[in-house]
Amino acid sequence: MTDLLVVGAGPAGLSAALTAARQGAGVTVVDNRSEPGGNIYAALTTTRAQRPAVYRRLGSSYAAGAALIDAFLATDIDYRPRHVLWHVDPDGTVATSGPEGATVFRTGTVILATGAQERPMPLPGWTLPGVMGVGAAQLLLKTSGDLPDGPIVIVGTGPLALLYAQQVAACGGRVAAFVEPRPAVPPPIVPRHLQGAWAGRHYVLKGLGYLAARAWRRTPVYRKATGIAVLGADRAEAVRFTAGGETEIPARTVLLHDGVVPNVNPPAAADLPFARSATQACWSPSSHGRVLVAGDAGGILGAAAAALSGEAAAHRALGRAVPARLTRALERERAFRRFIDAAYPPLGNAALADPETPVCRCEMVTARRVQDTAALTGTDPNRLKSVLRCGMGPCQGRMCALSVEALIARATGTPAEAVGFHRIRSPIAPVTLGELADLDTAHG
Amino acid sequence: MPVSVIVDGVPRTARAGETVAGLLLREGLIPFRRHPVDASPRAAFCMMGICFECLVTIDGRPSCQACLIDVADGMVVERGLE
Repeated sequence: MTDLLVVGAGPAGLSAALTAARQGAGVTVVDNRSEPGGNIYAALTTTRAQRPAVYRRLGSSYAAGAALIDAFLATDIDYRPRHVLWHVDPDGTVATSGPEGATVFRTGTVILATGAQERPMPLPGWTLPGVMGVGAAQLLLKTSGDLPDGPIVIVGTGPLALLYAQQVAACGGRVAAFVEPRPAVPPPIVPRHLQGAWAGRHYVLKGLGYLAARAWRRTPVYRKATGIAVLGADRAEAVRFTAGGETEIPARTVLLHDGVVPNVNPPAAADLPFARSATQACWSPSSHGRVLVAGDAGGILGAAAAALSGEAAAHRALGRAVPARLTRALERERAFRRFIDAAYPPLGNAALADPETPVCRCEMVTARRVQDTAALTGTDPNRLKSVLRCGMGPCQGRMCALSVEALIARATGTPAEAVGFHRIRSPIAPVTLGELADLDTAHG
Repeated sequence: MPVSVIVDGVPRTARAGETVAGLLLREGLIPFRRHPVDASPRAAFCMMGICFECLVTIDGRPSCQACLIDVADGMVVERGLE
């Protein structure tokens, strides 16, 4: 008997499942990958067993997931890998598509531990093969043990980009250059951020180590770059930008990074309340009724905080008080995050500077068309969606929603938080008519 | 343990536990598909199942996310190059 359904097997989901199971609850975990770990610890058990050298080179931030994953695999928790979530209702009804077709779960309570995604960075040429997210390239290293084709150029900055550059170097590769776009607003560091830095001093030391190693490797860093474009016919071949003067550097792989944001489609489908995070320039969903949010799905705090948050969500789901030690530990992670958010602010409109760039990759809608249309349709992203189809392609707005929102805000002179998020409708991932016809509703 | 996967009719050797997208990228099999709107070349972009750029046909089923699906011995993959 399942009392609790956890969606997502990253640090938040695993930790929630373990906590609830230890308290005697019947737990089911569904996840879209083939082994537990989420994106941060993707393919950890396979990498550790079959590619030990890669496992070592990925370093301590990856190996940190081993204890949690091993503990989870040692339980008899009902675990369903390869299940893609395509439906979630406010009453907690969930539907997935897996190797045995579609399954509907009607459990008491649901924890959405559906994680984060990289914030899209639309710039000319970003649809070319060879252009990926930094996190995407890191996933390639975790799941295949591979570095992408060189020369590798990173466009962006932040903790993940610096960590990946370190991992590339550990694997014997090199990042040819960092191109750091000029942020719309320069980062202000104030005393309260420094308190956060102290709360997370072990992270800060790690980060300073990555920066020092990058300098020691003599990786060129082009700061305050503008007019960044990826050039190439059928794949990325070079990056062009202006930093001081116009520069063009060869690149067969261009890795973009403008931080990470919650993957809001599952919580939006469940109609959960959303709050605007001004510092992270994104939406943070929160728990409501029988659907709880845990980990980075509810706001970006990182892997350690996600595990704590999963634990806290499990206590809430079972109607118990959240232990004070969890609340205190989460507050320390939050204080550190405020420092990181101040040090690496989202690029904002700087990322949207080129009007002919498609912001919607599914329907190929340019920034200019979004802005021109918003001048007619007003602030409602749903009206714009029905005119231009951005948000109606296979990704359902995951790659364009924040850009569209920023463009509507600019075109209509409205703050982004007043524009809001476009409506998310089921199914939130593709499901075949055959799967719907064969629907097994017996579970739970 | 190596795994044999047929991509566009050609046998390829994949690594255990890797995704179809990982295999295609290592073998230089890009683009994965031509975009239905403007025929522009596309390949895996997010590697985590959100961008839907890596869609290929796997064992006859179209629009599979190559970045989420692991290779399997005897798997047949077709890129969308029409």
